[in-house]
Amino acid sequence: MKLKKVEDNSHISIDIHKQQFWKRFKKQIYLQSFVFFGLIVLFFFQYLPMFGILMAFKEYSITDGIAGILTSEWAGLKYFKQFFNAYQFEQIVTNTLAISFLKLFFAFPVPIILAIMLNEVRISAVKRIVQTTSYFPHFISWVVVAGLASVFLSTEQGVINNLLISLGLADKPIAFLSNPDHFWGLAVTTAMWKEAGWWTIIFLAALSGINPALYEAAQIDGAGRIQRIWHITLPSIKGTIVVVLILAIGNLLGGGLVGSNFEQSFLLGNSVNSDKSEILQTYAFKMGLAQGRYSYATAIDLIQSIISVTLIFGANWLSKKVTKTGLF
Amino acid sequence: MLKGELRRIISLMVLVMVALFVMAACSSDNTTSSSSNGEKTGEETTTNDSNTNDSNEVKELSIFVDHSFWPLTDWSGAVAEEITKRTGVKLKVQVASDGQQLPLMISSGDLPDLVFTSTNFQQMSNANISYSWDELIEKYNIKDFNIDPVARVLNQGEDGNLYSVKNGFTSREAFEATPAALGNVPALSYRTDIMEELGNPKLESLDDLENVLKLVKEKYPNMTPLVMAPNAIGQHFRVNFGASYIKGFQVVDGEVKYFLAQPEQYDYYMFMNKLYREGLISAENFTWSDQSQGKAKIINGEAFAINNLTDMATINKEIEASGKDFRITQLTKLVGPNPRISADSAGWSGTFITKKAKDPEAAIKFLQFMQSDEGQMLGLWGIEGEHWTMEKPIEEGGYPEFKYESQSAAAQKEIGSVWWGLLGDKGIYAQVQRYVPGTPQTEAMIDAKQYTKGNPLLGGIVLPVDSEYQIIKAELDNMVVNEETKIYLAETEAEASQAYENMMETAKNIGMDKLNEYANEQYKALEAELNKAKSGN
Repeated sequence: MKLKKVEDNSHISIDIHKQQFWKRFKKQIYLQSFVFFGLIVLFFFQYLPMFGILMAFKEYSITDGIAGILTSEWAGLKYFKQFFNAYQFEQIVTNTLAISFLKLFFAFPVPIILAIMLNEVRISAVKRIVQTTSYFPHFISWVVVAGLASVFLSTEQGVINNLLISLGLADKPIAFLSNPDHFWGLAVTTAMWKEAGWWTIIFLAALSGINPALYEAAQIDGAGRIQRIWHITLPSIKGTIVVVLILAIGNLLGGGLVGSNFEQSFLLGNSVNSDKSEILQTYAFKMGLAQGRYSYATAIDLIQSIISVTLIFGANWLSKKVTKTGLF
Repeated sequence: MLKGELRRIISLMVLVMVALFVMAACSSDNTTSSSSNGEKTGEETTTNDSNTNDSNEVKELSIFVDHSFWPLTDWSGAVAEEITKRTGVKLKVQVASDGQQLPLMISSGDLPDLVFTSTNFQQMSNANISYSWDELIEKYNIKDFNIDPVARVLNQGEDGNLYSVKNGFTSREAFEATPAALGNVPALSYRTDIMEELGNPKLESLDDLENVLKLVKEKYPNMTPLVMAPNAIGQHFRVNFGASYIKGFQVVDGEVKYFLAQPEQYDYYMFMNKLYREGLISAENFTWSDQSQGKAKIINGEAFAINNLTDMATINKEIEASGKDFRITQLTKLVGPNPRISADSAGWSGTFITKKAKDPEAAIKFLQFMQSDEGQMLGLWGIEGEHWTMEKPIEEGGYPEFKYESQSAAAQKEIGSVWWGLLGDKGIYAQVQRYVPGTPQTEAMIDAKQYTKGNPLLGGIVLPVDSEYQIIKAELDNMVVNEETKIYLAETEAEASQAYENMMETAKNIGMDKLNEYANEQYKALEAELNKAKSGN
């Protein structure tokens, strides 16, 4: 009898919820219509193509067209095994992980530090100039950046090498572009130069939301500048840092916050530095589009996607445990 | 009130959707009509042709050229117009922007009437995609379209049908019997002014060449002694050592093997490494992907010599245009210890008539003309009398005496010669086109002819699409690009030698021996088929 009563109550509560939902939905109808178009785009360009993942498990040939993805024979894990046995497997995985973690380690803190430094600048003209010049490279395409890097870093009359030699910091030109050992450093520094300023905007926005009264109170209590940063600024933007960090980890294999692993390896990579520059994405690109091994390339990309999804869930879980803040 | 608002919103959304669909429909219409703007007559004619079969009207066939370097982006110039006059066919040209375009077109089924391709030759040799030539010859009762039995064996698809014939294939006998027929030779060109300043030292061996490069380095320390075009790296030297520069198959000790197994390759690699260790070539040369980077160094006066394809005339024109007063000239002799040019190609690119062709009859007749002697001379050389004259037949040593700069890319483009001739190129006429007496290029090619050895059966070895062997070969080709650079750039001779050993070991691990085994089987099968075709059974 008691149970029946509970059930009745739950029906009423669902009805009330339904009514509230539609009421709210009608209220937000203008905004919801925007979301509707966003969802359509998301469905067609993000979810629908996912059925192509099937290719990784099939003997797919491009001449069979799109229908061939469904009709071709099953190949099981053949293409995954092929990749694990590829002669460059270890090299490619090492490069992908090394470049990604180096970027996370070095490039992630830079926008935060830059934002805090800019926040401390009191002359607004200087602040604006620094901010504009630091985020401007974000708008330059990687093709142009790679071209600039080739000209600036060349051993044959490159500006950087000329400068290093004239300052006595090097006795002969450094082969930035052709020595494989320099590739990881080149990738991290160019990505930082290009993207750090852009991400600074996010953190500056978070900083602007901090109540100035906190700083005033701390100043009255005798806190110095570093103490104010440590005890007020950083804890106040902790939530933003965590969200951005989780997003960066989700895209870790793509280069994290500063991204662009593919563009860099594709444009700055060459046969001389391939030992250090070949990564999962460039390898999949070459196998898929240059050699027409679509199933194989899909399998490689799928491995990368699985790692990325695991990382994003893992990072979110860890963040919730440690900081009580998470993305979802 | 809310109801009215909801209706308004829904109407708005429907309106936006309709607008989107209209826009999408317009854009797909544009793809077929945009390129024909201004060519309305041709487009209308095509429609009429397919319906009325009126032979007096010009029929327009679309062609996709799967070579991004193709310079002729439209059907214009005296040669193209003359071909149209004689065949009643004009082409609507689309040149590939990259190597991925054709595979995607095959996949989507969005194919033109004709496709000219090299890398996708096997994919196109498929009954679902292309018409077989025999089928069309029979269906439209085409007379006198004879296909060379050797070409048939070398080009047939996996199903045994012939869908196209690769161009540029010449039998060894025909090549030797035609005095003015010249094969390509990777060039080495150098600055004549600097050579004179050095006192014109002799250039009769690779050691001499090395010494000249050293002298340049000594006297002009800011100059790179030798640069190499990215698509021709080391090719000139490979030829000098008798090593193949094409990543195909070679006969080594009586067995068909992947080219890397040639012992001459080792000598070549060691020589290149020596050039690097002596500072005569730069490491950055191997990082270039832009084909014009080497050429730019020469034009800017930053390099002394260049190893590239045979475009000396074009570079000199560009030097002149940039206002510089120096010129380059090509080394006219192969000075290496064991020169050999492996002309094992069974041709390189073929024209296919796709299943989407509006008028397969017009297409096969067009190809028949392009393959005929008349079509070849017109397409490759130009219009007789207007662009060239010839005193005696080519079999007797004759060659076209051109009235335009026949080796200049700009002149070829202007009148449309050479390139359209390649659609049906049977080798000899293209080879004779290169003969221009008195030029260093011709001298170099005449010298190289004595070292040219060919075995088209090697070029005819085809690895089945998506097969294990094709994958091994692709992996090997990819591996060689990365590993050979380690040999070139090794700091000591011992390190270079070790890098070579490593490369060979990796090749074995990838499956080189398995590939060789399969290639041998294929070679023997081809040999048997060829003997059968020759004996007429």
